[in-house]
Amino acid sequence: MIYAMGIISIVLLSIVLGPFIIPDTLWPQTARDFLQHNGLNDTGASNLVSAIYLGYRAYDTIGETIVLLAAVTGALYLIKSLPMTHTGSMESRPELKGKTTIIGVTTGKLAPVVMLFGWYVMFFGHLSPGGGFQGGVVLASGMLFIALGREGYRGESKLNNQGFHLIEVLSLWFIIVLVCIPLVFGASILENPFTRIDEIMPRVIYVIGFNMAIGLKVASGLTLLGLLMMDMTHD
Amino acid sequence: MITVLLVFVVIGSAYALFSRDLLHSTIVLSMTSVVSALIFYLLHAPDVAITEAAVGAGLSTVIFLWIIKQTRRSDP
Repeated sequence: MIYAMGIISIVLLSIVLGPFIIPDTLWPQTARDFLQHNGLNDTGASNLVSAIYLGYRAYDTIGETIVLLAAVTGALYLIKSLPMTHTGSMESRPELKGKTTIIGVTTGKLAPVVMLFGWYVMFFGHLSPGGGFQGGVVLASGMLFIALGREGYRGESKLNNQGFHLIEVLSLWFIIVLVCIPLVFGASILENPFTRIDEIMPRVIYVIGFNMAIGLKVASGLTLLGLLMMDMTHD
Repeated sequence: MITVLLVFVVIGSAYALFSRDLLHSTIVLSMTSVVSALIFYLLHAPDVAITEAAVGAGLSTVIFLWIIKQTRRSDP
């Protein structure tokens, strides 16, 4: 059965992708040239991928963050309402057996480096490859490393779920404020409000703020999902 | 170069799909996503490469390993 499904999907994929690979036509260049000439001036991001998803297509980015918030809220509701599991119990957990040196080194020494790289990707998303979403995911990986390492020492841990939920909701409010700022300056909604000023710096600061808000939101949401799954006890 | 990497991706995906040991599946899937991140980088899409490496090789592998630890290791 599964072999037949695999063969059918390969055939369908080759039917779909074949016309793109076989002919020797020229790729369309209008959108590329438009972005190359106007991207920095319109949005303040010289990385053109950031220029698209924070400037021209910022509605999609906002919808994506709201979808992530809905997913985290639904998971929180489901896990809290399951009768067999309980979250956040501090006592009477058996000591972790697989506590070896490599886990200790990875979670203790590598996680801060991973988190620093995540902050870098978030801050420089307008210049270099990366951006809010990617930096947020890297940051969440670092925090999940720390959460894996702290499992034996649950009582003295400072990572708690309420704080992450607070960060997520606050960064959503920050995104909404950033969306509404252009209305104050007389630009249309989701347009970069500083395009009429000649200096480039305010635009760049606006884009960095957008990147930071999205990154914090993604990082706190994914870390919260991971922590919730780790706190479930399996009976 | 890209063809070799794509063949590797197909082999790794097939092994991850048909393997009976879920731990092996997870590790091969993580390797597959690292290789596809390399393909994205070679095709001049570094943004997608960062996303693929962070999500595929980092976050989802951690979550899969945790779930395997909480449940069974073998696929019945």
